[in-house]
Amino acid sequence: MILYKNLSVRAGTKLYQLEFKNRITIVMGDSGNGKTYLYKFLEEYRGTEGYEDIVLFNYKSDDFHQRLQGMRHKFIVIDNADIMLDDTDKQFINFHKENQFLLFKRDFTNLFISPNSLVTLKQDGNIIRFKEVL
Amino acid sequence: MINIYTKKDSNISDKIQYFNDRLFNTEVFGSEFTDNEKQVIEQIDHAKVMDHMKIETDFGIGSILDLSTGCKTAINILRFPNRIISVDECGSNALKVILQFKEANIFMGFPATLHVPEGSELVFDETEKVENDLQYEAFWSKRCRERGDYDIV
Repeated sequence: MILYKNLSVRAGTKLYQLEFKNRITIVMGDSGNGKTYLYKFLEEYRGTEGYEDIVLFNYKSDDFHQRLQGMRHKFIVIDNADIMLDDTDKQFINFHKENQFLLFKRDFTNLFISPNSLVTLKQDGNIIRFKEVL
Repeated sequence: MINIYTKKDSNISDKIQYFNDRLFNTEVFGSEFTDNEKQVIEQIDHAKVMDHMKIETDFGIGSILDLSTGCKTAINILRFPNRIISVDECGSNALKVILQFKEANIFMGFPATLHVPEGSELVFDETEKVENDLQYEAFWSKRCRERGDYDIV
């Protein structure tokens, strides 16, 4: 289920305008292209009007695996996903289709994704959008 | 020489350093950067180090803590050459810089997209020498088949 088809996140002078075509979106690409910066500003928007269903996890999150398993009907953002996700987490991501996922990750082994799940961040002036990798 | 470990054997699994953000933030942040480190930061994050606490990027003036995980990983490799540092969170731009270091011990959990720099000496799992892209792809094709993963194309 796609809970958010579009998200706008203002981050200083930059504006992230993100369009989601899949339940699972994996943001890849070069280091320093703005992934963690996006995560930081999503943390600011979390819980505010229009962003109520966003939940965020990164390497600092306590009880990540347990909390993930309890998520239902949420837009779940996971930074550092290459080192955070184990096989049980990936099973949850694959089969709990009531959730939408935004993963900052490079290895997509054992994740059920479509070609347009894989994106990078592309900057055009001060606007940053997803660009499909494949 | 760059030593690249790809297997979590019992003799190295406890030595692999993951969570490079945490390592950098707790053990590097606050210290002065060498000219070489400043150059690495410029190459990977296109960030200019203003002093030991601040950087300037396209996103504006920020903290050293705002460097990307890949950039922090590269600095960790320089600062802690005897540790086995995981590069699984590095983009190909960061890996390109890391593979040009004179020496490093790194862990690579999956076949990252990269070009082997000319003249570099990569040794995988202390046994297999790789000097070009073809050898790199051949190594990972074999490793993925051994693990039962997808083959790299």
